[in-house]
Amino acid sequence: MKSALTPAGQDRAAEFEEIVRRHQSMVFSIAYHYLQDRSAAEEAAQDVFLQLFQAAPVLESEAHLVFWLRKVACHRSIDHARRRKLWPRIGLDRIPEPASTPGGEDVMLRERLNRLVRTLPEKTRMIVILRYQEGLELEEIAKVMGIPTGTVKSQLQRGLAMLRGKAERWIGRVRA
Amino acid sequence: MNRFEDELKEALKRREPPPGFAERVMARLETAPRPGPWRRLAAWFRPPVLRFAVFACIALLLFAGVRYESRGRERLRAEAARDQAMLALRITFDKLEAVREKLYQAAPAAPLRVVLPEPHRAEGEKK
Repeated sequence: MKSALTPAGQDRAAEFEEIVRRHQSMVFSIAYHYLQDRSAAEEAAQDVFLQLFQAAPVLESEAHLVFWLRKVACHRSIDHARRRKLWPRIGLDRIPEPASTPGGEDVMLRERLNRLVRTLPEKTRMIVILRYQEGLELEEIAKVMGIPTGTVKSQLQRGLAMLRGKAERWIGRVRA
Repeated sequence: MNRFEDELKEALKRREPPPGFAERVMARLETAPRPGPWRRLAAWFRPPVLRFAVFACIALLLFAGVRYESRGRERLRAEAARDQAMLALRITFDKLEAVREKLYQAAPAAPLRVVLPEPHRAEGEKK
């Protein structure tokens, strides 16, 4: 793959649509887990694909395209959160308790964890998303976010400790 | 990876966007502004093209440098050969001049007679 897209015409649009369908869940999920708002996440994800179409970056392979999309999705999500002030820190007390579901405690815990992720600081949150949604290694996260690997490692440990502490407190409350 | 991390992975599983997402992206492309001439021009300076241009320039400079260097060396060799030839001619001229001077001093009035060396003769041959 020399470029993400062929130069012009009908083929270009068809090829682009195929790229969107192939990667929409990845881009949307990064934005959704970061913003925790479906409409804002959709807007951010659309912006990412629009940027891909307009900038037509020269991408050498499918892996390069995925890397580019992840990177731009991260930046766009952070921009969206900052621009719309969507991300005031939400305290645990302000997060509504999930309704009890037939799946039991595990499903509730996952739902809770999902909500707890948005209580993390912005950089830490994105690192956690890239690690556990995308399954990236620390070095890959560092490349996507443009920060040192050591920072990724320390932020990830910090984020996990925060999440674990909050989750344990919640489990304690639920079982009490 | 422990159970907590497994749960986190499950919690952060990829989710599908709302239905019709791709169609809405394609619809936005129709209304989005087209890249202007400057952006298209800038595309020529994106890394791969730029890399090729830099590589071509370096190759050209190297080629020109090697050519210039080899021509310079050839010129220096020619100049050195010319200087050596000039020196040899000067030495020969000086020697001849010295011989002529000696000849004049020995017999200034006598006509100049060229004495050629006798040819080699085989032994036993009569003169």
